[in-house]
Amino acid sequence: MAKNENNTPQVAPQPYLLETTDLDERAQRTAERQQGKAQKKETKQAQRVQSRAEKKPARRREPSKNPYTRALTGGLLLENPVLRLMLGICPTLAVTTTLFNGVAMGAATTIVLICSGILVSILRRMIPSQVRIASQLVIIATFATLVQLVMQAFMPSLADALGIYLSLVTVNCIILGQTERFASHNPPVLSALNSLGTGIGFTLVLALMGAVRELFGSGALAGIALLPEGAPTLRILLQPPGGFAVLGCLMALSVFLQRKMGYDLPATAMGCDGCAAQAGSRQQPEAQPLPGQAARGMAEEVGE
Amino acid sequence: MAATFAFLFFSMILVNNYVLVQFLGVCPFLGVSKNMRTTLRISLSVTLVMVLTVALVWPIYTFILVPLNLAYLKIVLFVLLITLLVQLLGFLLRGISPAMHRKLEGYLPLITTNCAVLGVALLVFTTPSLLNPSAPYLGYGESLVYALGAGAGFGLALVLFSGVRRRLQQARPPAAFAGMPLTLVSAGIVSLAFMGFGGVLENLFGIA
Repeated sequence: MAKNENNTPQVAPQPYLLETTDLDERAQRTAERQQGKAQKKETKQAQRVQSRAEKKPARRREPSKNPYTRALTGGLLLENPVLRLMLGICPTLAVTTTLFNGVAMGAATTIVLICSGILVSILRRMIPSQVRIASQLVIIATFATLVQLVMQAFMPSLADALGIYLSLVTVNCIILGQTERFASHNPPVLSALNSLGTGIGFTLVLALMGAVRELFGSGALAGIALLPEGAPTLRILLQPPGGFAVLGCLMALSVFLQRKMGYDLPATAMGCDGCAAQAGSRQQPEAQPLPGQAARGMAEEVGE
Repeated sequence: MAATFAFLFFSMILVNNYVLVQFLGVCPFLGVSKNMRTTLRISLSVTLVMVLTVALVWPIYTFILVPLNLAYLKIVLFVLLITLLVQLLGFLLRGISPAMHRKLEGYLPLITTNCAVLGVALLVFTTPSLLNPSAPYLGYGESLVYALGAGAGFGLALVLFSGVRRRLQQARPPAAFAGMPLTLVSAGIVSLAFMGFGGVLENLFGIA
């Protein structure tokens, strides 16, 4: 062994015949190299984080503190009923085959939302808490019937297009969530504002869904052909699978936007089962400030 | 007649699946756990309430609301009836089988606001009858089969999807897609699979 090391070997060492010392050296060198790489990576990352922090010191944003502003604007992105709270998914998927249908459904829901929000808020001290869900359901169902009858009288074709989902506004989780979590603990003005904000957020999502599905599914927007004749369209977008996929992408976009704008994301995923759970006899000990937070808390309770 | 009932039942499960094609009851579908036992319990309670609701609502609508010209009250009345029925079912279950009640206790209240249940109660009166084409809507027997099929379809979708959800846990999607967005996109794929059933049943049961 020692002799071999002193003299130059006559035959060039084959890679697989390398001596143990060589192997050890190699391994050590690789390890060192890797360690160096990792260190470099870490320092680079640290630098990047640092520079980012320096560039934008106030990156994190908080929702507005003013209850009125928050009630009105919360529904747009941070507490958007569909994209962030996962409420009212059924109508969102079902009626958004065209932009117009989406907007009409959103408007109908918003009207019911505001009216029942105000009424529940006015009656909030009169309704005994044991029967509050049933009474809220009756109030919502009454307004939903009214909207349906008006629509059938003045816009029969639209009422036909929305079909059963116009009646199902009654059991839309958004509305019951609103009355149960917000209107029954807050004065009418605040409740009306919050209902309006939630309704606008809901309508925006429906309009966006409708626009995407109509444009790429049939090449038109609001009935006006935009894509040239014979342009390829994705018919599947107009059918149920397209609805699921488009909503999924829209939801991912909202998460992305919220991160980009520097808002914190809630750690838990929300689900509509949280909203339905309030139909149970679960008592609400203290007033919840905003339905979004309530729904989040509930999802934590209900979720696994 | 048996063929018609079978056709109605299977078309409710496969072709007109309440969750994946008609978007009724999507909320419990998306919120459903990856636990198969929970899923089965939810589906069982929903099916039970659906069939009982239709059994109760059909005579009321046909013999009281329509003769009195009060059909426009159906939403308010049905919502109240479903709420009452669910409460009553809870009490009955507790009396008859406490073990069963303990298992379904958490899920019964969820059903009150499940749009699939109100949907079944409303859709029964807008679906044309196959047995009696002159009737304005489904007959009593057909309605019950319709509700049973709708519940079974709901259960099938939930059970299938709970398997998909378990797989999704191991997926590593882009950050924005993690969680619900990915779930929705995969629900679209499951829904796509169900679209393949269109037209199959008509040929199978010989119904035009």
